[in-house]
Amino acid sequence: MSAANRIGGRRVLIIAALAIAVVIGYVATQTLQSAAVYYLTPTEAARRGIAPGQAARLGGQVLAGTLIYDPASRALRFTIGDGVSTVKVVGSGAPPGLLREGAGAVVEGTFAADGTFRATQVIAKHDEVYTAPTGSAVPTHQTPAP
Amino acid sequence: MMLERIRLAAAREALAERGQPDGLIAAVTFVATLILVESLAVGPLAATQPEVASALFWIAMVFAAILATTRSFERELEDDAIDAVLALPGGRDALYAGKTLALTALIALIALVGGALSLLLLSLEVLLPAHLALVLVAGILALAPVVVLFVVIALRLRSRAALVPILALPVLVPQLVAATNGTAAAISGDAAAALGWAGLLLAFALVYSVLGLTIVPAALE
Amino acid sequence: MISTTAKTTSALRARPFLGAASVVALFVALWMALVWSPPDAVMGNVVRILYVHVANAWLAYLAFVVVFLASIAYLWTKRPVFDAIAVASAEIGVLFCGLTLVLGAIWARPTWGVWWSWEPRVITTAVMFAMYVGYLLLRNLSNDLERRATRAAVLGIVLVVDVPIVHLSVTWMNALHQLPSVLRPGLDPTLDPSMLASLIAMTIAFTFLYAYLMTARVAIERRRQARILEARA
Repeated sequence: MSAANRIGGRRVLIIAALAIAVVIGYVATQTLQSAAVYYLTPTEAARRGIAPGQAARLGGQVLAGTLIYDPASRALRFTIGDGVSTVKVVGSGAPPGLLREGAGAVVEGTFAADGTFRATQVIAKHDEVYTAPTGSAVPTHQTPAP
Repeated sequence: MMLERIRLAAAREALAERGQPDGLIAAVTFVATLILVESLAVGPLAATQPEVASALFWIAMVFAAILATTRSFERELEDDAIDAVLALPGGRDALYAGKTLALTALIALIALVGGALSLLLLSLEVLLPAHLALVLVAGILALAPVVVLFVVIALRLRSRAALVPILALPVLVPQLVAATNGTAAAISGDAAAALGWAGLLLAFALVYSVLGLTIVPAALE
Repeated sequence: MISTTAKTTSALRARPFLGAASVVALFVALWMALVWSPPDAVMGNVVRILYVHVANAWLAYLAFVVVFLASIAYLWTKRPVFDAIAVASAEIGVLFCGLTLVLGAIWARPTWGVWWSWEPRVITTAVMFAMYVGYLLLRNLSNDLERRATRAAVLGIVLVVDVPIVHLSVTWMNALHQLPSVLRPGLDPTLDPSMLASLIAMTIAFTFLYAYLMTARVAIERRRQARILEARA
């Protein structure tokens, strides 16, 4: 029996099995949308009950009016939110250039006992929209909350 | 006729394993030792966290599966009777399917015993034992076809001991992620997540089983 | 005796044209990317890395899909030319994938703030790179034409499963890497039109380059196959 005959003869079974696999995989991934492997949103972190001192990675949108950086003391403060919950973040050192209010951010570090997040690393997240500069200094699109 | 041949191939494999149980014992010992050493390396506090413990277990399982599968196929190489089986029409497919089934069962056994030992060693309390069993089964089903596939591909190459992990581990990354997260979820009581990850593992199991059964027999010598 | 099919000779004749087309297209695309297109409103001129980074990623996907198709064709027909196509596409794919990772890191430093992060898109792309390096490693370990080709074909079919995983990883889970700007459901690109045009131009240029490299590499592989067969006879 040639390879061609062998493969062709079971075509229906293979297609059926693969179709079932795709359906199962799709359903599973939809269920797992919020099972964050890389970062947790503030709501997910609260739901999981991350204990103070436990290493975590949070992601969210930097809320307007909360980003403060003092070059003298190198103290960095901002609040991230996901549209439902917020977390105050405290870090040290200059923030990445793309960190702005209304844009996304990912922070690594630990929760302090008072509920604030002590960040050891602050990463700016960029969304998938790219536009040419308009006249105004502030870009008109904002990173949506994850 | 085909199913009968597969059953015979699987039974032959099971008999061979039963005749030489040192393979099973070696694999379980391997898993337990690896987990012990890894947990010492990461520190006792880290090792008792469900995520870390799950990762340690599944990585150990991948290597144990490669061990058991390689031993099984090396036995075939030494056994000349295999040529008679391969010569039969549909013989290759039956042999591959039968061996995969039997090896999956063997690896599941290693996982069961190794898993129980790990839970004991790391004194982990499992909140959802039924979900854990499901994730374990799904994980083994997702793991075994890939391992068998790569052992077969690399079978007659000298450097297969190094080659099989190099080839198999990248391909297994999504399954390892799913298995680790699913196991951790089952241990820590997140039922929905455990079921979701188990579902994903079953999807992978289907895809790679079908792929393996379709194309590998053509590559068997 | 390796027969030169009509397809092979026409591919050989096309090579100078493909080479010239690649050079011209690359010049045009680079001009569009570096000069003509606007800077981004948020990240400024750093966005220009996007044109090469994304084009390389797409070409890597294409190359690995070609490996998949050529592998199926080889198992089906056992004709060595398909094995040659598979190895050529795999090598070029590994090159493009590696470039994607390097350019991604260069882009990440001024935008994300870090060179590297173990986030889904980065991990899956690095894994894809490792997979196909493994594929090339497997091929290098044997000189038996038929056995090597069969083994490689099996692997080439299995490995392609990762390609959609790489692309969809950012949509499935919380990730640092941005969502796709072009290959997205609804197919409404989120790029400024002139940026989209530059990206498409760069992709066309790299596709010409891919085709040119393919013709050259497949020819080399066919010569190697012929030499091995002659040595046998």
